Amino acid sequence: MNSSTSSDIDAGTAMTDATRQRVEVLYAEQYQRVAVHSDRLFAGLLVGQWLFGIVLAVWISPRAWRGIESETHLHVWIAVLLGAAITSLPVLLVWQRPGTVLTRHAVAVAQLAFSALFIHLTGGRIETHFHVFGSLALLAFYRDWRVLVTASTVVVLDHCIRGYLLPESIYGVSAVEPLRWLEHAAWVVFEDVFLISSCIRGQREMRQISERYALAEAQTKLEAAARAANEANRLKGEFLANMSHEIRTPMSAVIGYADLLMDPQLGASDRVNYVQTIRRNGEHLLGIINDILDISRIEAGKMTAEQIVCSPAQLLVDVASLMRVRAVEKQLFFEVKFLTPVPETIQSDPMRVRQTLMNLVGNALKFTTTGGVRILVRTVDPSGERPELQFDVVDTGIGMTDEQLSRVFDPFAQADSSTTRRFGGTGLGLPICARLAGLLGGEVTATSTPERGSVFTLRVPTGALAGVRMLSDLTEATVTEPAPSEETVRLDCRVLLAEDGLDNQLLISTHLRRAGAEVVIAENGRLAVELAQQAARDGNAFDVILMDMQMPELDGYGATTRLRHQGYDTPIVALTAHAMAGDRERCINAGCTDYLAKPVARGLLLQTVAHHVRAHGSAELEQAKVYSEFSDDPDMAPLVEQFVRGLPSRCAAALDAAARRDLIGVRSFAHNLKGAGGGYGFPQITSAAAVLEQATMGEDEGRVQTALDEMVNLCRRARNSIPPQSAILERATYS
Amino acid sequence: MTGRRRIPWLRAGLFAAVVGWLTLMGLGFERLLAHGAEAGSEGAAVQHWPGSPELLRDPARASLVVFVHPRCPCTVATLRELARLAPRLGGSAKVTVLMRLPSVPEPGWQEGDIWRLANGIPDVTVQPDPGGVLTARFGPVTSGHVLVYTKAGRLGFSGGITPGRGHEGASAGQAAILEAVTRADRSLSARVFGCELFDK
Repeated sequence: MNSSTSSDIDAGTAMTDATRQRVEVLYAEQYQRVAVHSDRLFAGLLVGQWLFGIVLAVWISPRAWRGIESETHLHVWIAVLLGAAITSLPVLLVWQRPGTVLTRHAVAVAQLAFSALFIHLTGGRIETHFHVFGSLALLAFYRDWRVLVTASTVVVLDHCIRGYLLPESIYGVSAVEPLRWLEHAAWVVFEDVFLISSCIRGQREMRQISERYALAEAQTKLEAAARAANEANRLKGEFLANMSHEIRTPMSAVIGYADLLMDPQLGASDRVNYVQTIRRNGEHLLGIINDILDISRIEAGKMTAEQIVCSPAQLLVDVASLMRVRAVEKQLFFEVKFLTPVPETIQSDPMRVRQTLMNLVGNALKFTTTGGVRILVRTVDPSGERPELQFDVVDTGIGMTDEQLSRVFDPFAQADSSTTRRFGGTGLGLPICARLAGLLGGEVTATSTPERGSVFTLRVPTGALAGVRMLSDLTEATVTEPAPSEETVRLDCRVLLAEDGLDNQLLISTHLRRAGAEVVIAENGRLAVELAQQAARDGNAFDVILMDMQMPELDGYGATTRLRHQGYDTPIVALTAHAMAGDRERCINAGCTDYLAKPVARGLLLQTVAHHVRAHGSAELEQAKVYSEFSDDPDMAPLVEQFVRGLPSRCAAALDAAARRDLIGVRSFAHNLKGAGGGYGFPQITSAAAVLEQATMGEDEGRVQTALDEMVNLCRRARNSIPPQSAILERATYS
Repeated sequence: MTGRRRIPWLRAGLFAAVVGWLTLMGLGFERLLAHGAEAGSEGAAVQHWPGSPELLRDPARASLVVFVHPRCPCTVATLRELARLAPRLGGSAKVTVLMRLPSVPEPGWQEGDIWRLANGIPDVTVQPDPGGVLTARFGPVTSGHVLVYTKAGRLGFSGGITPGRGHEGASAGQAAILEAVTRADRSLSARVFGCELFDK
């Protein structure tokens, strides 16, 4: 490398370490290409020389004679065998290890070995010596002066050895001067001087080319980075401006209409209209905030997807029931079509699939003004290694050009800014969909025709479908379970609302009470735990607990964990303002049964509570009843009933003792029932109590808890064998 | 891990391959050299010119006879050297190239480079020798063997005029011939390189 040239380049362009490293990489790549190219050239040349040597030997000395008899001349065999030996290794190396140092040096040795062979076969003809000079010149193709040194060494050694052993084979005469080899070597060195100089110059030029390329690359990258930064700034600027608009608009409506509501002269009809406006704008604002939080969480790589068993039909029911309302509002048709049988269950994350579909369908409805939206469902490759469910969301909306389509999955970029102005929205919905689909192991793709509509396709892996029932001939009607209208939901249950915010206490309790529920409020987690335990002990347990997760003294996570640790199995629905996707997992991990994000819509709140009351009740009813052996004995029946009715309070006391780690209390409970159970015709209770008593003798808390759970369950089934005083009360007592 | 373990084996394999390759080439060249330096049998040249009506001696000058197998590739070098040597004799010797032929004429024996070269040398007589009858009388058994008899018919030189098998160039034989032609009191010899003139 010419130092002045290098320093000129460095000074002129302030070459960075990264660029220098890139120069080295480019130079190495360029040299590798030269070396590989030269290797291939010589591989062909060596094979050609081998064949030429055979032809030469056959032409000059085909046969050796003995009188009138003859045989193949030794030179022919030598040309075949020695030529093959010379050719073998370099050609093998060119094939297996092209471009390596060993390969080119092997080529150099082989090339000059052929020179020696040809000189010998031609009887030391001086003309054949030109093969040596030609070979050296060709080897300069490698631009590696070391190769020339190797080759020249072979020439000198050949002249020395043969000049000593059989001088006529190399010099053409038998009597040679002692330093004749030196004369030949000197001519080789004479040529080498120029060839080596040429090689060094060639390497220098290659390095200069590499430097130019590296600098050009660095410049291009710099410009691309600057462009990308500018574009990102522009997009973020647009996004912030858009966000500002998107957030301020509903916020202005909320504040403005709230002000109007304070007017005491306001009529009932106007008041309802204003409240509906505030609610609609609040929901819109919440959607925007959720989108921003979701995309930031996805971009930070903090969002994960579960793999649980779920029903695709149920997913579609959820999506269809919510989206149909919007379609009807816009006077659009909306339908779900099953094009193939679909699995009864799949392994996926139902929340993410639902969220993605809701986004896609919501988007389709947003950009459609006439016609409607269809969801086409099909199973792809159900018997293959990677079966998938495909949801095509087909709309008859405004459609997009190819250029617009190419940007719809980029964050902060809607089809164009006029779209934002016309239809609103953050432009985050589709990027979120694409990333959620990626989390699920699938993908979202889209096709579109301007003014004709778009098709957004979601493909989700289903997990293995072996043994999963495939549901045929499904229609929307067969899978749709009409959701109870929030207006018709009636709650006949006791709800514990653990919530520290007065506004939310008022709002949620009002919704619940209007639906018929009895609501008890706890202001923090500690009170919630105490109230739940007290109610259970009093035989008046709650059917559902709504648990705010951020509370003073003891938060919802701690309260739920503590209740679950005590064996409390009443449904606990988490309430949290942490609307980030992924918070659900944290709540479920803490022991919550379900999750509602604040602000909670009235309908969703009532439906969720109703669902859990029903589910919990059904689970209990499914428990088999345990009857006394004396249940048919009229004399014993009253005694048995009295014993059974006392079981809940005994169980509650035992659970309480277990929660305090009062093993003596639990053992006492077990000991008493062990003796009494058989006497009242319940040998199962006696057996289970004996197991529990035995467990309390050891130090294995898990074994005690399991035995106690079994015991309590048995008592519940025994209690179910007599008519309840109050179904709700009975369920709650055992919770 | 596997890749790292392979490297020493690979290097050892490559080293063994290179050593084997160089050894193989060395053996090949050694065989080639040995063959090049391998002289033919000198036979038993008769010390006095055998009387023969087919090949008459010129009593006024020396007689030089080259015994040639017309299909021996090594003998090409002999004839090229003869072409260089003949002018230097300056007519002081009668030069004859005796072509040993099969007893029964066979195709390919009376044509080729050797015939062309021999016929192209000025003042040289090329004489066929079917069955090698004349050759046998003189005693040489290797193609390229040269015998020089003095004016008196005594053997002055016996041997070859090439430095090696099939190799042209100055040799001890050429110098000896020039001396034998001019001096009648010396009997010189040199090694002969060529095919065998007779079957075993």
